[in-house]
Amino acid sequence: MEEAALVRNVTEFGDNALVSAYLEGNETAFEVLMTRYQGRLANYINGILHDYDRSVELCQETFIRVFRNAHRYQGKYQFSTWLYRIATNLAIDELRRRQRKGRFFLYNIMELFSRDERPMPLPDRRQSPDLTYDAKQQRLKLKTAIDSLPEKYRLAFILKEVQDLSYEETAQVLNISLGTAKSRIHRAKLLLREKLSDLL
Amino acid sequence: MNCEQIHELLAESLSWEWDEEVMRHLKECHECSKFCDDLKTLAEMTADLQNEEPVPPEFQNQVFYRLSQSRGAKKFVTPIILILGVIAAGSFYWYGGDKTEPDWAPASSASAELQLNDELEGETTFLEVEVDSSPEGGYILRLPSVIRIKHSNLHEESYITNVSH
Repeated sequence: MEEAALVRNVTEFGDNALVSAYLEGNETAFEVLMTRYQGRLANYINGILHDYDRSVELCQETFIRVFRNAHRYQGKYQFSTWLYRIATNLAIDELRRRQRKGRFFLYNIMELFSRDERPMPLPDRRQSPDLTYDAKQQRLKLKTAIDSLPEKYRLAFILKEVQDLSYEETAQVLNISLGTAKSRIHRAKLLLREKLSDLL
Repeated sequence: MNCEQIHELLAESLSWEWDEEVMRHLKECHECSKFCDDLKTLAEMTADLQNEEPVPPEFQNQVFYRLSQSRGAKKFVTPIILILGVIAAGSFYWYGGDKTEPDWAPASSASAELQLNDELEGETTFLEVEVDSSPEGGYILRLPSVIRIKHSNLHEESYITNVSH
């Protein structure tokens, strides 16, 4: 009963309190942190890589690094900012590694054949929530349009608009100024408006 | 406010209802009104992407497993470095002992600096060893200016770069 009460209490903790609890030896606190962020983070990385299995691996790697460096976390930024920053670095490293190795995934190859320089959509093999055909098509078009954005605009847009981070957090994650973050997100929206003109 | 300023304001936030000037402009300007509607629709569509795909059920167990694996591997790093150090020292002694006048040896004025530079943000960890030697004295051991040992957690690999004599 006491253990169950402890777990229940821990789940109500804020992120910083959970990190502190973990550093004091409470591993349940870290499980709660993982549960809180694992879905969002894996989807965020997948939004960059389009490789769900690899995204899950990198998401795990993010938590492992957080685990190891938790004692260095000083609460200067929000915990989520720190988490997203590590995940972003890992995802970008992965993209660079793929480019260096010349590993062309089917997705990239299809992009090459795309006449309007926008990647062609891949069928989503994962289970998706119950959506109508039109809604699915609309979602696919949106994803494709976001994917076709230049990386710097895409990352800023996804963090702010999809992951729902604030402008300040987005700037901190990407290690850019607040003004630059706003400018990139603004530019991303303008580009998306152009690309999705048939839907808007 | 002109249209460009309105566009910037709307692109930054759609919470503009409180601003009478913006409202007035939107009523009068069809282009800005359309721009505002487009951004609202885009925001609604984007919100739909927030629906999470669940991670595999074994996700957390795998994290703890991978963590225990890397902890185990870490135990071997120090002994390996020590063994390499002993081999290197032995090689220096053996090679230098054969000659009456060694080609190179540590200078008395040499200074060494060890710096552990461990990035917080998930960057690669660097162990940097810098050795500065004074040109004074008969022999100077010329070590690489920087010995960088990289350890990548993704691939569990260690290697030495920038080594030159």
